[in-house]
Amino acid sequence: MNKEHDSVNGVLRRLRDQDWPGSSHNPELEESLMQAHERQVSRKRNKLSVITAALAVVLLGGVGFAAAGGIELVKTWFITAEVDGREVIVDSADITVEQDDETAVVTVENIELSAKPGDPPLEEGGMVTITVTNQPEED
Amino acid sequence: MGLVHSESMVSTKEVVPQQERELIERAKRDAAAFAIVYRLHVQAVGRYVYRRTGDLNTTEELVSNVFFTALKTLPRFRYRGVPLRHWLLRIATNEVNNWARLNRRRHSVPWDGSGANERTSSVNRESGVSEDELAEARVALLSLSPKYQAVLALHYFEGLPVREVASILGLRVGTVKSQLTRAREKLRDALTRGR
Repeated sequence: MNKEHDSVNGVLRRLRDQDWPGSSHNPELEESLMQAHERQVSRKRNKLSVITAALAVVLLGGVGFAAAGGIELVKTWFITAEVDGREVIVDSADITVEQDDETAVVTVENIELSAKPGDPPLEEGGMVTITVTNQPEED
Repeated sequence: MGLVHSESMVSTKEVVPQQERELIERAKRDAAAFAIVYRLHVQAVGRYVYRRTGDLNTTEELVSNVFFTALKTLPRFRYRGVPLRHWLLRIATNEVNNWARLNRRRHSVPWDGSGANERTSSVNRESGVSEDELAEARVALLSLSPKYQAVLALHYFEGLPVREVASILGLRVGTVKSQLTRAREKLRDALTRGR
């Protein structure tokens, strides 16, 4: 057993005592690593630039959309209107919502309605029913 | 004290944890700092790989792979007090294990030392160990499963305590202990078969 133990230790010792005869520093490898590092950092920087540009486009687009009345347009997606029981199209609407914990007061300041294609045109007067559903939250 | 910047200040001495943490963060952004990491650790990585493979060309190729892999994965590296050397040894272990798996069949026949160059031979002469003895030891080691080669190399060649070997290999201390026992048995069997 001891002999076997010694043979294993001897083998491990022989292999351990082999020192790497290679160069401690390979200038070509170091140069390649530095070039690869610069490419890697540059790629990361470019990726970041593309993401930043994309975010800027989205942000500017959003501001532009809002300035062009986009918010009003979106609001109209959440309301339906009927005139004398006949469903009509909401072209635009100015809506404010005041909300506390329990109730929400929806004020429609101005609304433009038009008849659906194929229906007779709307006439002056009449009973207008407005239904607001899943309205977007406002401050 | 700031980190080493110039070539003349690069030392192979262990850098203290705070310096190492700063060096890693700099190496993520700065190629020159990564070159310092390379210079500080290439000898340790090369020695480990060479002790396991016994072949100069293979060692140079695998050392190159280790540092390119380190470069690629460095942005995701988070310093948690584990020395950088251990992280590099883990990468080196994976590289050598892959190489060993691919070449295991080839190593099951006695190695004739043809991969060694003149410098290797002279080193062996200096250590007083014959080429045959070394070749026999090498064949026995390489006939083992790569996981056994790895625990033996890290514990006996690199002199790392079991706890650190476990940290490098991502294993429990108990698992490393049992793998070491099993690896020694397998090595003994391989030596017996080879005689």
